[in-house]
Amino acid sequence: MHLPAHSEQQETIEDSRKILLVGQANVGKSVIFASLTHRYVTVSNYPGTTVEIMSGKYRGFIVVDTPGILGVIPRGEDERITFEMIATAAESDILLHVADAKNIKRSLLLSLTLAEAGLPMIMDLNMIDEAERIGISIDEKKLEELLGCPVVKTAAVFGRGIEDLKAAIEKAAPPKIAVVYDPKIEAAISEIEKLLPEKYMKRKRFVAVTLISSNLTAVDEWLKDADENARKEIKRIILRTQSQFGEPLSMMIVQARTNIVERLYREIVRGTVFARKVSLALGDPAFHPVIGYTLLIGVLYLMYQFVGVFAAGTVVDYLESVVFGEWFLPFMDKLFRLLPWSFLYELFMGEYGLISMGLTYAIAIVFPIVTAFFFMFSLLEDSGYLPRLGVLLNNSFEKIGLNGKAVIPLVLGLGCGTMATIVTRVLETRRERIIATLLLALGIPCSAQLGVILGFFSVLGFKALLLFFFIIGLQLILVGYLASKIIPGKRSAFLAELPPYRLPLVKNIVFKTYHRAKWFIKEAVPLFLIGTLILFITDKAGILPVITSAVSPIITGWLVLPEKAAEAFILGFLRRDYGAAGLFYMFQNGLMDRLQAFVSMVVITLFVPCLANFLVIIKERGTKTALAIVGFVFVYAFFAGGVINWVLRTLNLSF
Amino acid sequence: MTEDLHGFSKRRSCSSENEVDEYLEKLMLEAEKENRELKGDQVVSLPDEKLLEKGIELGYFSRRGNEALLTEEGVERSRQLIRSHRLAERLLADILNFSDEEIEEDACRYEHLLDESAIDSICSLLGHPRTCPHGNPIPPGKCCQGGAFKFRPLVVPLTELEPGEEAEVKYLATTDNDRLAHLTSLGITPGQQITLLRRRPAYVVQVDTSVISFDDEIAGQVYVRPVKQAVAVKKGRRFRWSRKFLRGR
Repeated sequence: MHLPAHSEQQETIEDSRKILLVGQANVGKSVIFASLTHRYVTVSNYPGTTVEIMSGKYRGFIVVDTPGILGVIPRGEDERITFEMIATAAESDILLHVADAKNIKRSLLLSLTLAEAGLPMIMDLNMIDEAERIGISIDEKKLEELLGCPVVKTAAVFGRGIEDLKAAIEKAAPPKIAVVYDPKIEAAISEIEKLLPEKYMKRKRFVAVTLISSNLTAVDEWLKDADENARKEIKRIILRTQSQFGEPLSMMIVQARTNIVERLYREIVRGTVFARKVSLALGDPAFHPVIGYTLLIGVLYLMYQFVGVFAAGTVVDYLESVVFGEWFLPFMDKLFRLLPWSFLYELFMGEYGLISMGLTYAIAIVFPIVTAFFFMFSLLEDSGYLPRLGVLLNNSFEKIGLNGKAVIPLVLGLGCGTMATIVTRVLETRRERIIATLLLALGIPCSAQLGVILGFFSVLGFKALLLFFFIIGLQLILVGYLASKIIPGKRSAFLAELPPYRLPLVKNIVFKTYHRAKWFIKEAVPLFLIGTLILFITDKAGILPVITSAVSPIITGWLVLPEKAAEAFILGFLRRDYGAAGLFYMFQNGLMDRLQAFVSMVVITLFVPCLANFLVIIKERGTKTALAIVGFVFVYAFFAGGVINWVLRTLNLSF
Repeated sequence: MTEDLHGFSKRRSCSSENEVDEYLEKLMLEAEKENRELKGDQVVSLPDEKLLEKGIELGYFSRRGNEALLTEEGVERSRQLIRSHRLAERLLADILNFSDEEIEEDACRYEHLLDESAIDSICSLLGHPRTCPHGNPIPPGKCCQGGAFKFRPLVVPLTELEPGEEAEVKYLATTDNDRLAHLTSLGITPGQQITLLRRRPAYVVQVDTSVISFDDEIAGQVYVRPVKQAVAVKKGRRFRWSRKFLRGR
């Protein structure tokens, strides 16, 4: 995979005319982007952030796919970057507003926000097919006339209207429509405009209106390198203006825009809307207390068949034993044996070698599982099921300090905890991210581990499996509940849009899966290598046996497991499936009885996450929080394991 | 609100508001005095032909040969007028402490001004009173049926609505600009019509063509005016669970 150097990338972005693709989430921006740029795509971090921006070439332009925004004011880092890009855009750049045609009012509201920037603009009414199907007909010529910039209709997934869009790019013009606010707000806008830093001067009205619509903290975020006095003065102006109205300023601004939207709507929309009342009449099966959960179990089973059985079984077996085992590793082995230094051989090909262990684990085992998981995940996402699952589980999640949105990282955790921890970014508050990270680290088994667990229970029996899931589930609820009581900060409210159920298009699923898999290789694979390196060093320094003997008393005394299990637990920190597999091996060889096997499975599942996951927790949550989480999980896993062991023995339960 | 008040003062007084209404009221009052019930199909003698024609046009009277008959709608209308009038009296006396003369004058105007849903709201607000300040009975409305009631003012948070109800968003009771921006960008703006689709497992509303879901906290901040005022929200929820189960709400 070829990625150009960063510096080169930045240079081209600076020099060429840009087309900024702007729009709400899930309106098909990426598809428009793909159909304009084809394969000339690069991904780079926005300077100073971890937010990735895709850009590509189209004729003489650089097309930039900006993070989706909701409108009015930026929420979160991703959205802020989109606003920043608009606010610092050059006169010759073009705003391409990709809008959802069937949500025309919302789209127009965002158009009016964007028009404030005064940049040449095109409004693309995308997903026009869906709008037509529900009876909305939009007079785009009339809208073009009213807005004063080109308006095109597209159904990008089917390639419809792309030529019109390309033609419209040539005619992009600054919109003539302008919103005039209350005179007092207008006065505040012109006062703030004068105080803005130089870089925002070209888009001063856009920036000023955004600041007035935002919470005061936004002033500090936007203008962090601006003059201290200017910042204070701007806050004073906003406060003073606010004090003159009974309603929040942002509401006044939205109201003024909404009035215009209503007028535009009456002029351009023809036909009666057959609103989707179906969901009311029939009820959405995904929300039904019985059908909904049955459906959820069905979906999980399907995922298990595809990810657990097909990818983690068939594909991994083939890759690990044939591609790596018979071909790649023997070849590398020969290659490294040619080297004169045995240390280098050990580093790459030894027991804890970067290639023999790190790369094999990442590419032959985790990668196929994660890719299969991404495929299923994209399918659920595009079909519209995933957001509904968030609604179904919202109440349960609220009890553990999260909301329905947490369904995304927690479900992803069943694929790969490392990746899921990164994805906790979708949660709004720090508190929620910590709770989600904690639960992921504690009790969500990743797919590699699930494979071994299920192997274990094929021997221990189905009843034992149910008991296992019950115990793990109980721990998650208990810890989540306690964490929500202890960890400070406020819960964020649940608010989400439910897209209509759609038949996912294979092309788009493949596109998404491909980009996510690529992202995994870039983000997670290096972590697996670093983890292996640390393991290698620990092994060489002779620390491993020391740790093993240090924890043995807990293993034999408290958990009543054989001493050798300590080794498996330590290994579990490095590779979840290795740890579980080690225990499985002991069980099969008669070193543990059934009850011991059960307890050891519970402990290894609750036990600290793998090293790659730990490194991601440090990166995302900071070292202090990461140590606290892992320290807690370490103690809790052994504590819970001991309690379960005691209960099972006291009740004399057998499987 | 100020526009409504202007509207009030332009209205003419009770007696000249509408002659048909006035006559219907008179019929009801007479029936009350004679201790009988006003019924449909009963013969009435209207003072003049013009009034009858107008009443027929409105659907309150009908003709049978040379006789003029009161229709069911006519009965309902007279009940509604008396109900409005006496509830308005209650409101003015109990809540606003108006004097007797003031009450008489204003109640006259209110009875024509307020629609059924507004009257039901006032009725709920006052706790479904049975009599007016003068001791005359107030005909019960739909909101009074069933015995147990839940008070519901005109503008309520979304949490007070039942699935299937339509409402107009009136205001968003939060000063958090982030949340306001989030809600408005999803189309939940004052003036917008929304339909509550379900309350469980979370609130789901339809806004134009999109479907938005949120939790109780946000639902409590979205204040709406129901389009059709709910028919008495009864507390007795017998057999409710089975219906709930079937619909999955």
